[in-house]
Amino acid sequence: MASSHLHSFELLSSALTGFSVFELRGTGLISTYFGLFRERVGSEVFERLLGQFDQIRAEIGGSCSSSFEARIRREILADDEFGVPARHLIKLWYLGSWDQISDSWWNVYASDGTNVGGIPNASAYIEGLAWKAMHSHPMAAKPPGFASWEHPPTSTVNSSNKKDEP
Amino acid sequence: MNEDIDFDVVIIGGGVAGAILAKELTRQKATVLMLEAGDGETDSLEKYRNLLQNYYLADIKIPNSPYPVVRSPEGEAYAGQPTVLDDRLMNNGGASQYMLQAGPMPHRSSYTRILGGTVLHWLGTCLRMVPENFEMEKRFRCGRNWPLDYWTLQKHYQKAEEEIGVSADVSEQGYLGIEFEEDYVFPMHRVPPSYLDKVLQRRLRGMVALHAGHKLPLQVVSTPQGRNSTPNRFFNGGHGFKPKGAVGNPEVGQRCIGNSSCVPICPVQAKYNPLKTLASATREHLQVSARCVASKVHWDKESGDITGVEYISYDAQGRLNLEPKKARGRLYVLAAHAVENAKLLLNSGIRSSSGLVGKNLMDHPVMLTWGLMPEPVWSYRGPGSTSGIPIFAAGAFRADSAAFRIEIGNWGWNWAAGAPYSTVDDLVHRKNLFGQGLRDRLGEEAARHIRFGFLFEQLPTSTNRVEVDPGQKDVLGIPRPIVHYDVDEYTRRGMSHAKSVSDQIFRFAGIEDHTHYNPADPGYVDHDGEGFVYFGAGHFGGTHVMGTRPETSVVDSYQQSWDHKNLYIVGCGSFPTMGTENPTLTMAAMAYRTAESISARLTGK
Repeated sequence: MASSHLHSFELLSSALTGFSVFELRGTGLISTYFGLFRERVGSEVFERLLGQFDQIRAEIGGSCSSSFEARIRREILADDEFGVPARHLIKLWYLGSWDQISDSWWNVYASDGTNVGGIPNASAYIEGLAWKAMHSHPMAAKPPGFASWEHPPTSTVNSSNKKDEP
Repeated sequence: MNEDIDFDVVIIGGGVAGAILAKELTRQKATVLMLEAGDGETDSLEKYRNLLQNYYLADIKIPNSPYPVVRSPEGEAYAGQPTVLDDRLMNNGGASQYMLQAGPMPHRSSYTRILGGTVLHWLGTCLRMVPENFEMEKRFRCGRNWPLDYWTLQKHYQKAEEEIGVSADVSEQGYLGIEFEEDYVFPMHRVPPSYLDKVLQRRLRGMVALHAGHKLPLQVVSTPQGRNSTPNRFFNGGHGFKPKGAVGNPEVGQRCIGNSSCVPICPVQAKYNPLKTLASATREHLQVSARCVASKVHWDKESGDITGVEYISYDAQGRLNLEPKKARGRLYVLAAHAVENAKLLLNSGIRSSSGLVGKNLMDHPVMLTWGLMPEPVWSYRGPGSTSGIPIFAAGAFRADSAAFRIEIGNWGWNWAAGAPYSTVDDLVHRKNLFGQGLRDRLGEEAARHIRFGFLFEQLPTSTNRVEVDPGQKDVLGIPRPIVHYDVDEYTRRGMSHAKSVSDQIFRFAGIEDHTHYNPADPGYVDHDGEGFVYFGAGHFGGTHVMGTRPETSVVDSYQQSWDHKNLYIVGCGSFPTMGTENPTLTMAAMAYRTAESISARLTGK
């Protein structure tokens, strides 16, 4: 069913990116990427990948366990069919841009879908997770304010990385 | 030909020099026609927002990426321009590039033809030239002498600093012979240094570097910038300073707010751009015509007087107006860029008595070194650079090797490696990270990215030059610029010294070196068995050199042509030497000097 697919997609994205569903929903891009991802890898690969992920979820139970991560790694990222789309999805979330998929995968696994690269819209660039992971902001958007660059980012204040200022 | 209304002054080029002249001359009630070859869709708030959207959607975010180009039905730009990707030699895959690269090495800089010009995407670094740059030949027996000195230019530097809106504190800036008028303060206080600057300053405390046989202490110094910061209330005899915000929305852009995208575009226009100068010109005396490409300067063979500038126009939809027009004025100013000025002159049969039009082309080749700091410095934030290490910009060693300025970069490995795209690529594809592990590792690594840029001087030489060839025309039928360029031993020796200094900095500060230079890179040069890679800083100069005599220069110290009395040729093309300082401030100061001369002439004083 469409809404459970969307929920699986959210959870898959969260597991692959290390950002919570809450954080991903905050980008406003879940349904855009849901549609784009299915378009780019084709509906059949899409269904099978989500199916594999759902099976792992059902059998493991909780998403924070190391066995959950191990299964994601072995059965999705290391899988010959699922690894390529999964890594592309990580990069789509992190950088807001879809890379064209290599012929070597496409010719074997794709049955439908459109294999083009690019930035889907300005929001995709602006909501790139890489900048958040870096405690920064997308260049030319979300400016943190005058003199903010003089101090460590405020998002690091409570982390163990905080260093006393020089 | 169309009968065009005569103007007092015709200015070719809508960049920083043209804008300053337009503003100064219209203020004196001169009528000015400005022809800009590129598009004009830049000078309102809404148009500027479109530029920003272009940037967000650009696959490769190069300096030109926000700025639209109007093309022919076949896809060729009417106002051609080189991008940083156009680094192939013309006989090795580069035959279709607008600016043809004859070699032996590629000139790696780009420029942008649009209303506002290349300074739309400058970083904002706003340094005065150190005094010894003006007398290289006299002091070091190499290079050339300027026909004026630092002190003659001093009051024009002040005007330029006011118009641009420069942020700096005088107390930090009096090094290497630079001096200021008593009680001078910059319009605004220095832009706050980055956290990275402060960490580096702490880690380099007490360091002495060995350079070309001499030991020199290193200081991290704030870089003066054309970027809005806190106004200095003592500016202008206590009148203070009001920062200029965005064109059409002046309350926005009063301060830099850390968009970290100066190159190529400041979303709020806290960074100076020439549109601000144009917007404050006296519009009733100014006509700005964009999408008008000057193709030929007509001149009287007897008197040398310019009789008109022929130009071709096109509309925003890409339709050509096939009927050429002629712009006429009492005086003419070429302000189209060092390369475009030379190209236009050469296409008009103007080489000057000296034969030096197009010759002495220079850039600031830039060498990057990069690595991982031993502690987080939280890169990718703030202006592209807020501090530098100036000590190597001057000194007796210049008799033998190129001076260089060290720019401390705040944007991590963005330029050097394409980070964070390259970093994510590496972590996902090669390090096989995902989930929380990916997120943490990206955060941890990127926070320690540091990058240094070394900007080198080049000596003027007649073999580095712009030429034209009637067999190599652009889509408008105008011969394109052909650039002959090399990086000589003087500069390569400088690169070698700089790499040694970089290595010493890395060792002293404990930086893990990730610098590597690929022999297949278009900018790869070697020296004594060592290899380096240079990029272009975007600084073209030298092509219509200033001097004291028509036999050895193209223009005089007011940038007036020796041979054509009603012609001024302005911009970095007039520079006899490049030094290591980003040239925009000096170009602007020279534009003010020229404006004074033209004003005096028009009013008969």
